[in-house]
Amino acid sequence: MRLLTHNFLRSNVKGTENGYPLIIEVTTVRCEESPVDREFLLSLLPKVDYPALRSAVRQLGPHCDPPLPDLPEDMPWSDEDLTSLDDATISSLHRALFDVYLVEGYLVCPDTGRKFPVKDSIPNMILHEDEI
Amino acid sequence: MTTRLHLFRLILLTGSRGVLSFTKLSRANSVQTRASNSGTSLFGVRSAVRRARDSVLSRERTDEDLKDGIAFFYDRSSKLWEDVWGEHMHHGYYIPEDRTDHIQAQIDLIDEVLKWAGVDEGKPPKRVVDVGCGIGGSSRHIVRKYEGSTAQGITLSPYQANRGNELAREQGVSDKASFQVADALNMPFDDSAFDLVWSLESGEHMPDKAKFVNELMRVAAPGGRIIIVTWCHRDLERGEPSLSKKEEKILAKINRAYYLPKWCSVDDYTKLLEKEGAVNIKREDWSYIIAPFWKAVIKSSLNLKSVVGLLKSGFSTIRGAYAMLLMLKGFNSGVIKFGLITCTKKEE
Repeated sequence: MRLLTHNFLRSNVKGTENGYPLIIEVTTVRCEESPVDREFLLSLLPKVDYPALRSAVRQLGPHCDPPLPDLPEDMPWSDEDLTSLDDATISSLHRALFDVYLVEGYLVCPDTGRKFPVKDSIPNMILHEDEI
Repeated sequence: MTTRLHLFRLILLTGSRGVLSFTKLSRANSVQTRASNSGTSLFGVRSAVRRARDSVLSRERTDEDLKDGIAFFYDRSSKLWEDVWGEHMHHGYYIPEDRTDHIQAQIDLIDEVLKWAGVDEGKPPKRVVDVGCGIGGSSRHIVRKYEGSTAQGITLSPYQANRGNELAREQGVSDKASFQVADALNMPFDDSAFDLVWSLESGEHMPDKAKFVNELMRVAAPGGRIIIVTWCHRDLERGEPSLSKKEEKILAKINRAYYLPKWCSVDDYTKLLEKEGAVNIKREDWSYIIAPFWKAVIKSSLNLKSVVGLLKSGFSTIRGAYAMLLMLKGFNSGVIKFGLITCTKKEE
């Protein structure tokens, strides 16, 4: 599961006030470089929740080789002006969103603590009968 | 019935007796422990016997059994389907009626549906959800068709999600299309997250149509579009309380084979959407356009490779193949319809 996917997933367990963002429990992580598509990335950024991405990077980052550096505290882009982003920032955002995979682990609901398993890089978000 | 179809029936019935075994009712990937995987435990045998009895009586499944069954069925059958038919697990668009380029026909169906729904006229979609995505054929096609778009697909089958991601990598679109295991009746997405909500031949699996429509509307963004393409039964006539007993019987048998809950009509869907506040509701019946597909599927299964694959895939897949004959019967007799419904969510 890439962090781009993680950015859009939320817990919908019954009674959850705010099941987002899901906390990441790492068992296995895989990193794989991919080519940067600048235009595509810029078109995605307005939809990305930056604080969620930043905290996900902090949780996964140390498990990568080389470790993924933290993203800056302040969102480096403003939705009105994306073109000012420099290559280094683009590269680190791309790496965070696309090049790191949670292969095995759990996504944990911040409200209820419910753990959604991730196996073979696929999150399983199906709820049990009593959680609907 | 033609000789070929008789032969087909014979192969199916022989094959099913050969491989029918209660211990084969195991899951590729277990989400919740219910029926034990071991046929030797009393719980496993008892549950298998219950299922066999319900099968013979064409009984409706509980929602729990249905979800498990759907995942199980697609975990087991998807590979065979893909080997014979490729990455699209839906009907083809048979205009002209006698076209034989079936895979292109399946791709054309996606394009024709998008055109019919008006997606090609407005602003192209940017964030798409593929509800009941199979192995992701639609998602991958859509993200290639609309520049800059991304798609999230959900399925109950871990096999399908995995295969979907694999194919996305092979086709170089894994940054744009990703697949997860999730329940369409409880989608793990935020409200208003998608500008195109796409459900191609998955609605028939949803046991609670009202909840399904509610979820589709929930995740649609204001101004966003919902497209539902699904098998329905014919609209009921005014004053008609239900389908005939004969019609119900065909559907009940198909339901056991394909892990489907009770069917509804296109009329039912439009009423549900209206209730949810959808606007610009449009509907269409494409039964006659896709009907040649079932004959083509049956024909395609009458070769050695497919038959061997079928026998290897186990009882549930074989039963699914037999149900193709029932689908053909259903279309021919007018009880089964291939319905299209589209609408938009009110702008804020």
